[in-house]
Amino acid sequence: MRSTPAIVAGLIALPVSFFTAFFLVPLIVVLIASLTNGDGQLTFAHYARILFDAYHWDILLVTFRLGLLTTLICVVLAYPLAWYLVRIAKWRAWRRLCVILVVLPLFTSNIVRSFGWMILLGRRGMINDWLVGAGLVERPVRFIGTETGILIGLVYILLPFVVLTIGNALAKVDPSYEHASADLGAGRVSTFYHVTFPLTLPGAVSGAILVFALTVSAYVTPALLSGGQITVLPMLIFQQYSSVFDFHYGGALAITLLVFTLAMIGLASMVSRRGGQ
Amino acid sequence: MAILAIRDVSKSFGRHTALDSVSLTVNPGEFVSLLGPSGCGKTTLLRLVAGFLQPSVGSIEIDGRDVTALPPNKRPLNTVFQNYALFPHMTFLQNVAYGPLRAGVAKQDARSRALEALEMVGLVGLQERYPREASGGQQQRAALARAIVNRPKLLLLDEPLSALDLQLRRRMQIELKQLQERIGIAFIFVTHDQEEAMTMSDHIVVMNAGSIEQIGTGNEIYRAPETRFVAEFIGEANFFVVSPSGCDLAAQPDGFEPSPGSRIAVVRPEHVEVTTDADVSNGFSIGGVVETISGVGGVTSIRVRAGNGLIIAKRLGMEVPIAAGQAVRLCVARHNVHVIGR
Repeated sequence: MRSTPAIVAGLIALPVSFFTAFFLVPLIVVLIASLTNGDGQLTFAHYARILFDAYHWDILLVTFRLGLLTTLICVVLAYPLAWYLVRIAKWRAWRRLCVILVVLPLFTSNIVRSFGWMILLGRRGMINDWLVGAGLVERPVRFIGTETGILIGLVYILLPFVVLTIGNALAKVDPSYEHASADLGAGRVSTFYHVTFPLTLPGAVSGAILVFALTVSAYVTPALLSGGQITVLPMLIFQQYSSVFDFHYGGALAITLLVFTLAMIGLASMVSRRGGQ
Repeated sequence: MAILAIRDVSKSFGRHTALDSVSLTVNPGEFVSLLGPSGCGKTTLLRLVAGFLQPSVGSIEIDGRDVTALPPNKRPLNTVFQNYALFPHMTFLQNVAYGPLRAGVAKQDARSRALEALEMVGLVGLQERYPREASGGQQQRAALARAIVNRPKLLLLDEPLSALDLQLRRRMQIELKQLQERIGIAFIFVTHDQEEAMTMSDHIVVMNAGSIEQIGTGNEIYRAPETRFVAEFIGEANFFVVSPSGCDLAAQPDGFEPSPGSRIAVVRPEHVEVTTDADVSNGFSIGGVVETISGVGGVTSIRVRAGNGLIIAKRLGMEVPIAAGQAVRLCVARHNVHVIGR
């Protein structure tokens, strides 16, 4: 079949209109709301309020610190897991089972899983029972209402995404590259550092970007595990839209989050492109 | 002393025996080809020498040292891989400097050694190219430069020319041989292409079904094959049954039950003389009818139905005074009948 302009237009009409109606238009509505006041006049007051207030910077800092830490921990944990799945688990049925175990949590609701962590991480929860029982700590550790607690919940929820992207990248590395490296005198560690890791870096970066974007926009897990002690930007945005009904200030917060996230992702892909060369 | 000594090496994968008690010695500076059809075990043998596989039985010595238990990175040899395996995220220069850098050579020295190796294979000025930006021939040269930059005593080449087109392959065969003579490294060259093996090798190791059939120079293997497999695999061959009374051109061993005590002889097609002359003085002869005549590249093949099969004769030149359907006499001189041992 020849791809005439008419056919191409026909094929992309549906996705384009979907994208426009449900993504672009709402985004523009939010953008316009963020730049106007209640009377519909143009104003930068909402942005000024965000950018000149230490409170907002604190929230941004917490949000992005959680994002970066979650991403880092996910990548560090996912690499060995992916390595095991792709390189070590030779028996096919066992490998499938492992993949299913990794993916399984994604089939349950975020809310249910976060409540699960609330119970596990509570003062008298299972984890504190173990820690105290094993004599590792004297008194129960406070997880709920700390960044550590939120971090644990986010890592648990987002880990499968990174395992899958890194695993996919690892599976695509031709073993002959590693053979060539060994043949040229490199040991296992050196081969990983110079050959395998750089070749999987694009996969790791795409997984990391995914996790980062999902973390900084996560609402449910931080909200449930924060115990009212910690606020991240999505919680503030949700508040403005659902309780305060200030769509202008809420919109400005949403756009701020978007801009900062895009800037971080742009930086990451620039670094990875330079690293990949 | 031999640079490589393989002693009674066997390798099985599960119940499949890929190599069965193979022994081979390679001398310094020698060009040895492992030749055989796919699945004959030649690549397995190469991977055992490189260290990517461990032999089930037997030992491998390189330069007088037993390396059987050593991993690939501890063996004093390098490999040119079939698909080149150039690191895609590195330039040619970085690829070639990889070996020296891993050996602990300082950055500047590694760079100059890499440039020298690239110059040796004719890639001057292309050191900043990435493999994906280069042609197949250039990638092949870069892979070669990467493998010789550390000056190993032994270089393994796994069908390195198979991905190139015929013209380039012929040119690379000659260049490769010249390079090998210049740097004096022993080459072990795996190929399934007999012409390639004949062009380049000092010795050819013909392999079949996990065993070595024969080791010899190209000439020896062609003129004096030790087994029927070798005779069939190298060039074209006519087979006849020989008994104590002589060679019977009417009796080809396929579809014919040779009597006990008789053996099989090979006669190369260029040694079969086709004549319309009825009287033949020496050697063996048989009458037959020409079935087909075909000429390729200045050589004419004549297929003659005689005895219980087809006999192939070849002669130089494109013009022959014979036509299909004509009755002819085929003659073979006594000294051109080579009796094979097995």
